Amino acid sequence: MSRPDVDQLLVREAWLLDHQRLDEWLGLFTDDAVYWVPLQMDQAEPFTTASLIYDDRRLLEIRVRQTQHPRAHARVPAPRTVHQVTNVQVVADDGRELTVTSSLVMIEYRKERQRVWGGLVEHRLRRTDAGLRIAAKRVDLVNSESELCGIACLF
Amino acid sequence: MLQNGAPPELWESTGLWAAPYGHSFMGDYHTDSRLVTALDHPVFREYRTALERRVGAEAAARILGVSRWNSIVYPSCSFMSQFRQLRIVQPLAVDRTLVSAYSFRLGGAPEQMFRDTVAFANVVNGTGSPVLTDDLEVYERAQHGLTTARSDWVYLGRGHGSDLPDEHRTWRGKTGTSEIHIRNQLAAWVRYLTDEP
Repeated sequence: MSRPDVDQLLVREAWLLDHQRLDEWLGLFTDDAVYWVPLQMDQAEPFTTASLIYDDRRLLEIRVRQTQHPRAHARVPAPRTVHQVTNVQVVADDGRELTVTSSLVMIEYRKERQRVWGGLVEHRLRRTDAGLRIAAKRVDLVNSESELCGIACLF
Repeated sequence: MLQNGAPPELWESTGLWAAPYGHSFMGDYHTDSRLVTALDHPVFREYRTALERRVGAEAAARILGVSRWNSIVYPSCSFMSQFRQLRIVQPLAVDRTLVSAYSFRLGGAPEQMFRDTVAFANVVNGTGSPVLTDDLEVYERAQHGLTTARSDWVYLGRGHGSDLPDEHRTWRGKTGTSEIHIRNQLAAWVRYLTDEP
Protein backbone atom coordinates (compact mmCIF):
# COMPACT_ATOMS: atom_id res chain seq x y z
CA MET A 1 0.00 0.00 0.00
CA SER A 2 1.55 3.24 -1.07
CA ARG A 3 1.46 6.49 0.77
CA PRO A 4 -0.50 8.22 -2.04
CA ASP A 5 -3.42 5.82 -1.43
CA VAL A 6 -3.44 6.66 2.28
CA ASP A 7 -3.19 10.38 1.60
CA GLN A 8 -5.95 10.16 -0.96
CA LEU A 9 -8.28 8.40 1.47
CA LEU A 10 -7.74 10.94 4.25
CA VAL A 11 -8.21 13.87 1.89
CA ARG A 12 -11.31 12.23 0.43
CA GLU A 13 -12.70 11.65 3.93
CA ALA A 14 -12.20 15.30 4.86
CA TRP A 15 -13.78 16.44 1.60
CA LEU A 16 -16.87 14.27 2.15
CA LEU A 17 -17.28 15.63 5.70
CA ASP A 18 -16.86 19.24 4.60
CA HIS A 19 -19.43 18.82 1.82
CA GLN A 20 -22.00 16.99 3.97
CA ARG A 21 -21.65 13.88 1.82
CA LEU A 22 -22.25 11.80 4.92
CA ASP A 23 -23.64 8.64 3.36
CA GLU A 24 -20.48 8.39 1.30
CA TRP A 25 -18.41 9.18 4.39
CA LEU A 26 -20.13 6.35 6.24
CA GLY A 27 -19.35 4.11 3.28
CA LEU A 28 -15.63 4.56 4.00
CA PHE A 29 -16.02 2.66 7.28
CA THR A 30 -15.99 -1.10 7.72
CA ASP A 31 -19.03 -2.82 9.22
CA ASP A 32 -17.17 -3.34 12.51
CA ALA A 33 -15.75 0.18 12.61
CA VAL A 34 -15.32 2.28 15.74
CA TYR A 35 -15.37 6.09 15.82
CA TRP A 36 -13.88 7.38 19.05
CA VAL A 37 -13.28 10.82 20.53
CA PRO A 38 -11.80 10.13 23.99
CA LEU A 39 -12.35 12.34 27.00
CA GLN A 40 -9.03 11.80 28.77
CA MET A 41 -5.57 12.46 27.45
CA ASP A 42 -3.99 9.10 26.55
CA GLN A 43 -7.22 7.32 27.45
CA ALA A 44 -6.41 3.62 27.27
CA GLU A 45 -9.88 2.23 26.67
CA PRO A 46 -13.48 3.36 26.23
CA PHE A 47 -15.34 1.10 28.65
CA THR A 48 -14.47 2.34 32.13
CA THR A 49 -14.10 6.05 31.42
CA ALA A 50 -16.64 8.15 29.57
CA SER A 51 -15.80 9.53 26.14
CA LEU A 52 -16.91 12.60 24.23
CA ILE A 53 -18.02 10.17 21.52
CA TYR A 54 -17.70 6.41 21.29
CA ASP A 55 -19.68 4.99 18.38
CA ASP A 56 -19.74 1.54 16.97
CA ARG A 57 -20.91 1.26 13.39
CA ARG A 58 -24.60 1.21 14.41
CA LEU A 59 -24.31 4.33 16.57
CA LEU A 60 -22.32 6.05 13.85
CA GLU A 61 -25.14 5.37 11.40
CA ILE A 62 -27.61 6.86 13.89
CA ARG A 63 -25.33 9.90 14.25
CA VAL A 64 -25.26 10.39 10.49
CA ARG A 65 -29.03 9.98 10.19
CA GLN A 66 -29.50 12.50 12.99
CA THR A 67 -27.20 14.97 11.25
CA GLN A 68 -29.34 14.65 8.13
CA HIS A 69 -32.67 14.78 9.98
CA PRO A 70 -34.74 17.89 9.19
CA ARG A 71 -35.92 18.24 12.81
CA ALA A 72 -32.88 17.33 14.92
CA HIS A 73 -32.52 20.60 16.83
CA ALA A 74 -28.74 20.75 17.27
CA ARG A 75 -28.17 19.92 13.61
CA VAL A 76 -30.63 22.38 12.08
CA PRO A 77 -28.70 23.85 10.46
CA ALA A 78 -25.88 21.32 10.38
CA PRO A 79 -22.50 22.75 11.33
CA ARG A 80 -20.31 23.74 8.40
CA THR A 81 -16.73 22.56 8.68
CA VAL A 82 -13.32 22.75 7.09
CA HIS A 83 -11.02 19.85 7.96
CA GLN A 84 -7.30 20.42 7.49
CA VAL A 85 -5.41 17.10 7.61
CA THR A 86 -1.62 17.20 7.85
CA ASN A 87 1.45 15.40 9.18
CA VAL A 88 0.31 12.04 7.84
CA GLN A 89 2.47 9.10 8.89
CA VAL A 90 2.02 5.36 8.39
CA VAL A 91 3.26 4.09 11.74
CA ALA A 92 2.40 0.39 11.42
CA ASP A 93 1.43 -2.11 8.73
CA ASP A 94 0.69 -5.74 9.50
CA GLY A 95 -0.27 -6.60 5.94
CA ARG A 96 -4.00 -6.51 6.68
CA GLU A 97 -4.28 -3.12 8.33
CA LEU A 98 -2.28 0.08 8.48
CA THR A 99 -2.12 2.44 11.40
CA VAL A 100 -1.94 6.03 10.25
CA THR A 101 -1.51 9.11 12.40
CA SER A 102 -2.25 12.66 11.37
CA SER A 103 -2.98 16.11 12.72
CA LEU A 104 -6.37 17.69 12.34
CA VAL A 105 -7.26 21.35 12.50
CA MET A 106 -10.94 21.90 11.96
CA ILE A 107 -13.03 25.06 11.75
CA GLU A 108 -16.64 24.61 12.74
CA TYR A 109 -19.26 27.25 12.03
CA ARG A 110 -22.88 27.19 13.07
CA LYS A 111 -25.38 29.87 14.03
CA GLU A 112 -22.99 32.83 14.27
CA ARG A 113 -20.44 30.88 16.26
CA GLN A 114 -17.09 29.68 14.98
CA ARG A 115 -15.02 27.15 16.87
CA VAL A 116 -11.55 25.87 16.16
CA TRP A 117 -10.74 22.27 16.99
CA GLY A 118 -7.31 20.68 17.02
CA GLY A 119 -6.68 16.99 17.39
CA LEU A 120 -4.26 14.15 16.93
CA VAL A 121 -5.90 11.49 14.79
CA GLU A 122 -5.22 7.80 14.45
CA HIS A 123 -6.83 5.81 11.66
CA ARG A 124 -6.73 2.06 11.41
CA LEU A 125 -7.14 1.38 7.69
CA ARG A 126 -8.02 -2.08 6.43
CA ARG A 127 -7.24 -3.43 3.00
CA THR A 128 -10.47 -4.73 1.45
CA ASP A 129 -11.52 -5.82 -2.02
CA ALA A 130 -13.13 -2.39 -2.40
CA GLY A 131 -9.91 -0.65 -1.40
CA LEU A 132 -8.82 0.91 1.87
CA ARG A 133 -11.56 1.23 4.48
CA ILE A 134 -11.58 2.81 7.94
CA ALA A 135 -11.77 0.15 10.65
CA ALA A 136 -11.19 2.63 13.47
CA LYS A 137 -10.81 6.37 13.82
CA ARG A 138 -9.65 7.98 17.02
CA VAL A 139 -9.51 11.74 17.48
CA ASP A 140 -7.73 13.07 20.56
CA LEU A 141 -8.79 16.70 20.85
CA VAL A 142 -6.28 19.01 22.52
CA ASN A 143 -9.08 20.41 24.69
CA SER A 144 -10.95 17.14 25.34
CA GLU A 145 -10.66 17.62 29.12
CA SER A 146 -11.97 21.18 28.98
CA GLU A 147 -15.49 22.28 29.77
CA LEU A 148 -17.14 22.08 26.39
CA CYS A 149 -20.39 23.07 24.78
CA GLY A 150 -22.21 20.34 22.89
CA ILE A 151 -20.48 18.74 19.93
CA ALA A 152 -22.76 18.15 16.96
CA CYS A 153 -20.05 18.25 14.29
CA LEU A 154 -18.09 15.32 12.90
CA PHE A 155 -14.31 15.22 13.23
CA MET B 1 -43.28 15.07 21.18
CA LEU B 2 -41.67 12.70 18.76
CA GLN B 3 -38.35 12.16 20.54
CA ASN B 4 -37.18 8.60 21.19
CA GLY B 5 -39.70 7.57 18.56
CA ALA B 6 -42.19 7.10 21.39
CA PRO B 7 -45.84 7.95 20.70
CA PRO B 8 -47.41 11.01 22.41
CA GLU B 9 -49.73 8.76 24.48
CA LEU B 10 -46.69 7.22 26.13
CA TRP B 11 -45.36 10.60 27.21
CA GLU B 12 -48.77 11.70 28.43
CA SER B 13 -49.01 8.58 30.60
CA THR B 14 -45.53 8.98 32.11
CA GLY B 15 -45.60 9.53 35.86
CA LEU B 16 -44.33 12.88 37.08
CA TRP B 17 -44.13 13.58 40.81
CA ALA B 18 -43.22 16.76 42.68
CA ALA B 19 -42.30 16.99 46.35
CA PRO B 20 -41.84 19.96 48.70
CA TYR B 21 -38.64 22.04 48.36
CA GLY B 22 -38.47 21.68 44.59
CA HIS B 23 -37.66 17.98 44.32
CA SER B 24 -39.25 15.84 41.63
CA PHE B 25 -38.93 12.65 39.62
CA MET B 26 -40.24 10.81 36.61
CA GLY B 27 -41.51 7.30 37.21
CA ASP B 28 -43.56 4.59 35.52
CA TYR B 29 -41.27 4.97 32.59
CA HIS B 30 -38.45 2.60 31.94
CA THR B 31 -40.44 -0.52 32.69
CA ASP B 32 -42.28 0.21 29.46
CA SER B 33 -41.13 -2.47 27.03
CA ARG B 34 -41.49 -0.08 24.13
CA LEU B 35 -38.58 1.91 25.50
CA VAL B 36 -36.51 -0.48 27.55
CA THR B 37 -35.78 -4.12 27.05
CA ALA B 38 -32.76 -4.27 29.33
CA LEU B 39 -34.54 -5.51 32.45
CA ASP B 40 -34.40 -9.04 31.05
CA HIS B 41 -30.81 -8.65 29.90
CA PRO B 42 -28.55 -11.43 31.23
CA VAL B 43 -26.28 -8.87 32.90
CA PHE B 44 -29.20 -7.34 34.77
CA ARG B 45 -30.47 -10.80 35.76
CA GLU B 46 -27.01 -11.57 37.15
CA TYR B 47 -27.14 -8.33 39.14
CA ARG B 48 -30.60 -9.15 40.45
CA THR B 49 -29.38 -12.59 41.58
CA ALA B 50 -26.33 -11.06 43.31
CA LEU B 51 -28.54 -8.52 45.07
CA GLU B 52 -30.98 -11.21 46.21
CA ARG B 53 -28.11 -13.24 47.62
CA ARG B 54 -26.92 -10.22 49.56
CA VAL B 55 -30.12 -8.69 50.94
CA GLY B 56 -32.75 -11.37 50.38
CA ALA B 57 -35.45 -11.64 47.76
CA GLU B 58 -37.91 -9.37 49.53
CA ALA B 59 -35.50 -6.46 50.00
CA ALA B 60 -34.16 -6.91 46.47
CA ALA B 61 -37.68 -6.67 45.06
CA ARG B 62 -38.28 -3.51 47.10
CA ILE B 63 -35.00 -1.92 45.94
CA LEU B 64 -35.52 -2.81 42.29
CA GLY B 65 -39.16 -1.80 42.52
CA VAL B 66 -38.10 1.83 42.83
CA SER B 67 -38.63 2.71 39.21
CA ARG B 68 -37.48 6.25 38.50
CA TRP B 69 -36.12 7.95 35.47
CA ASN B 70 -34.89 11.52 35.84
CA SER B 71 -34.90 12.59 39.48
CA ILE B 72 -34.16 16.12 40.61
CA VAL B 73 -32.87 16.98 44.05
CA TYR B 74 -33.43 20.72 43.93
CA PRO B 75 -31.58 22.84 43.04
CA SER B 76 -28.48 21.23 41.56
CA CYS B 77 -28.57 17.44 41.54
CA SER B 78 -30.12 15.18 38.94
CA PHE B 79 -29.83 11.41 38.88
CA MET B 80 -31.01 8.43 36.90
CA SER B 81 -30.78 5.63 39.41
CA GLN B 82 -31.38 2.68 37.14
CA PHE B 83 -28.55 3.75 34.86
CA ARG B 84 -26.22 4.77 37.68
CA GLN B 85 -25.88 8.34 36.43
CA LEU B 86 -25.57 11.47 38.53
CA ARG B 87 -25.36 15.01 37.24
CA ILE B 88 -24.44 18.09 39.22
CA VAL B 89 -25.67 21.34 37.71
CA GLN B 90 -23.71 24.49 38.55
CA PRO B 91 -24.96 27.81 37.23
CA LEU B 92 -21.96 30.04 36.40
CA ALA B 93 -23.81 32.96 34.82
CA VAL B 94 -27.24 33.66 33.46
CA ASP B 95 -26.30 32.01 30.19
CA ARG B 96 -23.57 29.61 31.34
CA THR B 97 -24.10 26.37 33.21
CA LEU B 98 -21.56 23.69 34.03
CA VAL B 99 -22.92 20.14 34.18
CA SER B 100 -20.69 17.41 35.61
CA ALA B 101 -21.79 13.83 34.94
CA TYR B 102 -20.76 10.90 37.10
CA SER B 103 -21.18 7.17 36.41
CA PHE B 104 -21.37 4.84 39.39
CA ARG B 105 -19.94 1.35 39.73
CA LEU B 106 -22.11 -0.75 42.02
CA GLY B 107 -20.16 -2.87 44.50
CA GLY B 108 -20.58 -6.58 43.83
CA ALA B 109 -22.41 -6.02 40.54
CA PRO B 110 -21.20 -7.68 37.32
CA GLU B 111 -18.28 -5.83 35.73
CA GLN B 112 -20.19 -5.62 32.45
CA MET B 113 -22.82 -3.52 34.20
CA PHE B 114 -20.34 -0.70 34.75
CA ARG B 115 -19.19 -0.90 31.14
CA ASP B 116 -22.84 -0.58 30.12
CA THR B 117 -23.17 2.40 32.47
CA VAL B 118 -20.27 4.14 30.72
CA ALA B 119 -21.70 3.29 27.30
CA PHE B 120 -25.03 4.75 28.40
CA ALA B 121 -23.29 7.90 29.64
CA ASN B 122 -21.63 8.35 26.25
CA VAL B 123 -24.91 8.11 24.42
CA VAL B 124 -26.99 10.19 26.83
CA ASN B 125 -24.70 12.52 28.81
CA GLY B 126 -21.57 12.79 26.66
CA THR B 127 -20.57 16.12 25.17
CA GLY B 128 -21.04 14.63 21.71
CA SER B 129 -24.06 12.57 22.68
CA PRO B 130 -26.91 12.48 20.18
CA VAL B 131 -29.29 13.11 23.10
CA LEU B 132 -27.47 15.80 25.08
CA THR B 133 -26.59 17.94 22.05
CA ASP B 134 -30.25 18.30 21.15
CA ASP B 135 -31.12 19.08 24.79
CA LEU B 136 -28.46 21.79 24.96
CA GLU B 137 -29.71 23.29 21.73
CA VAL B 138 -33.20 23.60 23.18
CA TYR B 139 -31.83 25.30 26.33
CA GLU B 140 -29.81 27.71 24.23
CA ARG B 141 -32.80 28.54 22.04
CA ALA B 142 -34.91 29.15 25.15
CA GLN B 143 -32.22 31.47 26.54
CA HIS B 144 -32.02 33.23 23.21
CA GLY B 145 -35.79 33.71 23.29
CA LEU B 146 -35.57 35.20 26.77
CA THR B 147 -33.17 37.89 25.54
CA THR B 148 -35.81 39.31 23.24
CA ALA B 149 -38.35 41.87 24.36
CA ARG B 150 -41.16 39.78 23.00
CA SER B 151 -42.56 38.49 26.26
CA ASP B 152 -42.34 39.55 29.90
CA TRP B 153 -43.32 36.13 31.22
CA VAL B 154 -42.16 32.55 30.96
CA TYR B 155 -45.17 30.32 30.59
CA LEU B 156 -45.13 27.37 33.00
CA GLY B 157 -48.82 26.68 32.92
CA ARG B 158 -49.08 23.35 31.16
CA GLY B 159 -51.24 21.11 33.36
CA HIS B 160 -51.79 23.84 35.96
CA GLY B 161 -54.86 23.17 38.09
CA SER B 162 -54.95 19.47 37.30
CA ASP B 163 -52.08 18.26 39.52
CA LEU B 164 -53.18 15.51 41.91
CA PRO B 165 -52.09 15.01 45.54
CA ASP B 166 -51.02 11.51 46.57
CA GLU B 167 -50.38 9.73 49.85
CA HIS B 168 -46.66 10.59 50.17
CA ARG B 169 -47.13 14.37 50.46
CA THR B 170 -46.15 14.55 46.80
CA TRP B 171 -48.17 15.82 43.88
CA ARG B 172 -48.51 14.05 40.60
CA GLY B 173 -48.95 15.72 37.24
CA LYS B 174 -52.18 14.61 35.68
CA THR B 175 -50.27 13.98 32.47
CA GLY B 176 -46.62 13.28 31.76
CA THR B 177 -46.24 16.58 29.95
CA SER B 178 -47.44 18.66 32.88
CA GLU B 179 -45.00 21.38 33.94
CA ILE B 180 -45.66 20.54 37.57
CA HIS B 181 -41.95 19.99 38.25
CA ILE B 182 -40.98 23.41 36.90
CA ARG B 183 -43.74 25.15 38.87
CA ASN B 184 -42.54 23.19 41.87
CA GLN B 185 -38.99 24.51 41.42
CA LEU B 186 -40.26 28.05 41.04
CA ALA B 187 -42.27 27.68 44.25
CA ALA B 188 -39.17 26.43 46.11
CA TRP B 189 -37.08 29.27 44.72
CA VAL B 190 -39.65 31.86 45.81
CA ARG B 191 -39.82 30.22 49.22
CA TYR B 192 -36.02 30.30 49.65
CA LEU B 193 -35.96 33.93 48.61
CA THR B 194 -38.77 35.09 50.88
CA ASP B 195 -38.71 32.84 53.97
CA GLU B 196 -37.20 34.27 57.12
CA PRO B 197 -33.94 32.41 57.94
